[in-house]
Amino acid sequence: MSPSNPASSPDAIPHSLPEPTVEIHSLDFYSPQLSTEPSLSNTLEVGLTNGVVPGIEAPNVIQGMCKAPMARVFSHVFPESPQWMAPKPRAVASQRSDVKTKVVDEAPEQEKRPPTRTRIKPPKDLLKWTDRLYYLLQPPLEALLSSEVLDFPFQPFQHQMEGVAFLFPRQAAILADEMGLGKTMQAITAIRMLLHAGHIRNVLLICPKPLVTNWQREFAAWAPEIPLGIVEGDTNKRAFLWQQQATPVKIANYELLMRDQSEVLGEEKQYDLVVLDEAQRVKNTNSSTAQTIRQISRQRSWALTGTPIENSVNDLHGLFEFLMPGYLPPGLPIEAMAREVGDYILRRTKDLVMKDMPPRLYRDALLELTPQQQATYQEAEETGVLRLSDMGDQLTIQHVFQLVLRLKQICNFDPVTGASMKLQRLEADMEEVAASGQKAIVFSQWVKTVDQMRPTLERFGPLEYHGRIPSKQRDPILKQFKEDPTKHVLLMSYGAGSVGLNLQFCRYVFLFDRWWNPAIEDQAINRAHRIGAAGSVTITRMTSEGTIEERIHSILEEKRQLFETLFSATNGPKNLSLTRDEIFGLFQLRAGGKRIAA
Amino acid sequence: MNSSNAAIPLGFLTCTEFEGWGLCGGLLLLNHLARPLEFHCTLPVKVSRTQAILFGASLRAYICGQVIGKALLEKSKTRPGILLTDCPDTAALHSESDIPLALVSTHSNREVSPPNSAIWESMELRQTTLHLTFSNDGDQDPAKQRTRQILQHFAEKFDLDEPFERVRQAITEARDAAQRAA
Repeated sequence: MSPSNPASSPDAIPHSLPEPTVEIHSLDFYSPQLSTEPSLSNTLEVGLTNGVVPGIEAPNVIQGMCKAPMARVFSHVFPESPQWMAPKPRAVASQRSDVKTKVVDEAPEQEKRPPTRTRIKPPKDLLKWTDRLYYLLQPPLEALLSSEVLDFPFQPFQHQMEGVAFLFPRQAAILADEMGLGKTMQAITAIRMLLHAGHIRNVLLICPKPLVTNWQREFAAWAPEIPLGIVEGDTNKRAFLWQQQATPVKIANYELLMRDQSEVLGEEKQYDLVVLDEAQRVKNTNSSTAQTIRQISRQRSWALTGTPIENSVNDLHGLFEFLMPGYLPPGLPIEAMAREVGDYILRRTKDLVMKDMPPRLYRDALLELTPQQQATYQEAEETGVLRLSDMGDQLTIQHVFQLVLRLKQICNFDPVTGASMKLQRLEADMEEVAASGQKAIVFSQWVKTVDQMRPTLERFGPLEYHGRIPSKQRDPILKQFKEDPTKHVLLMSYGAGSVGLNLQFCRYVFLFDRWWNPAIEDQAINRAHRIGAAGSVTITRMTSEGTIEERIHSILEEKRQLFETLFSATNGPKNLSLTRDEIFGLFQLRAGGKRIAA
Repeated sequence: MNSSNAAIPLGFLTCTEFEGWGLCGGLLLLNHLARPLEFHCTLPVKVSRTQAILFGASLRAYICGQVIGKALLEKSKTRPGILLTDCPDTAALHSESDIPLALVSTHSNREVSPPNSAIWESMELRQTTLHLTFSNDGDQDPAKQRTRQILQHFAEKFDLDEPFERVRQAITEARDAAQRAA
């Protein structure tokens, strides 16, 4: 306060009086020093007190308490990894280098990609915040690649990382990638991560019998440290294997599982995760396989399939009865179904994710029948259709089916002379394939057709892979086909060779006859057209002109287009294989035996 | 890097402010593979008008560093070997803790400057600049060398700015969950 002049004012305050003071009552910092950064738990009290000035009324005192803000803390501690999953020394990994080298050889040179961070997103049905937190706070998958714990034979593709991130947090999931995008590797890596994280300890993987060895190979490549239990052998051996606790992953085929129900079912037999490969096997909810598998006690359920909808969108109902019983009622409108299943299904196509993958080149070989075939075909069709028409109300779809099969067989080979336009064309094409040092796969519906082809193709070193080949011989055949330069052609049946096999070294695929369902054909084609494909894959679809095959072909083409849009379009197809009416329509018939007007 | 160093967890600490909700902090403890060990986060800390006036320019550093940062650190069951933060205000925690503290700044991200109340040493690791401060300022302190080695090792394994994304995501989820519940 500046001193005032006492002479200038009659009410002047004597200059000898003390000035008013401002006093800090307390500046109670917890820490002894006062800095620009006050310490925790400061309680600041500021007050004014009056100076003793006679004649001046004491000012009101305002006191403010400034308490330090408090922070309430929420805490979450993560579970520890099991000890047996501790990182192994590098030397151990190198002992498995035979496997690793093999895979690397099959894989294309990975181009350098910019660093990405693939995060694990918690699924929508995970509501508890602490559960969601667990996944949110996991490192990006790429961080695992650079760690010394998870050794990968080569860097996965981005879509594979996303697939792993999709599977990892999910209790129920369908990985429905198109064939060849690496569903096996994605599932193995997700299983591996869950085991390492201590989330699961007991996995049951069920696959078709011919794929058991394939899974073994893939586990050896992508998760060599995980002990596997392959359920096989006689009853006693299998019982022993089922009871083994030391193997965190058991692999069994569907057929054995049905025989060993007593070993698998029961309250005390609990699995943390059950994975179904080629899960379309449980699409029919009434099948004994589906019913048995649904009874397995489990925490998590994953389904792997390239064809989640093989015949009808209701196939999804069957899959969901395994994943989440009662969740997806049958007959739901497709828009509602798409909404309900969206968070549980991941499907990518090669066109979508593998922009740098070599193309599939389709070649439709529309062939005239040989004169002998033509004569036989005409007679068979005319008499067959006549017989069907005469059956009246007795006519069933099986009768029509028999005629279709009969005519298709004639389109392959004339039953009397053995003449075959398709074989002539195949032979000519194989000359070119063999001359260029390439290999081809030929698919047929019938093993008998394979038998008929073989003599003509002998000089191309044909190998066979179909239902008559014993399981133990199958892997050596594939190995020989890959490694023996004199073996240029593999003759396969759709049934045996359509799923799970890696034949990406083949540049040519011949569909000697056509399957009823485009999804099955795609599976067959994708044996060759998959990750690691050496180059473009040429698919020759053989169709006999003016025959039942041409009619089937046009229906299949229409369905193929529908299948492509299944997961994105709101108006998907109701049925993908030939319907009852379509089969009758092949001969301008309809149920009840009456001819439809042309 | 020897196994004992590999066992040392890193603490990633950051604060984020939500409009109308307040300041929240999160501390994520990671092992040498970037795997989470512990996570702690605060409920929003709201500042009263009085506090805002009386703390003035130092308020944010006070809340982030000494209220939130210290509370989080006290809750952690494992003591982190090094604390990292990408928030300069949170870096004020250095005066409250004897754990080496690194302020992380990436070239692709914003440039951050450490508070001038301590001695900071710069360290370049891949795409990341770290400003380090230690409670003990002795140049020859072996603990300092060890800290640098550990950071170098971790930076080779994963991006040191990445875990902050996780912390922020988790805090955001917490806020969303609280808002849904309200």
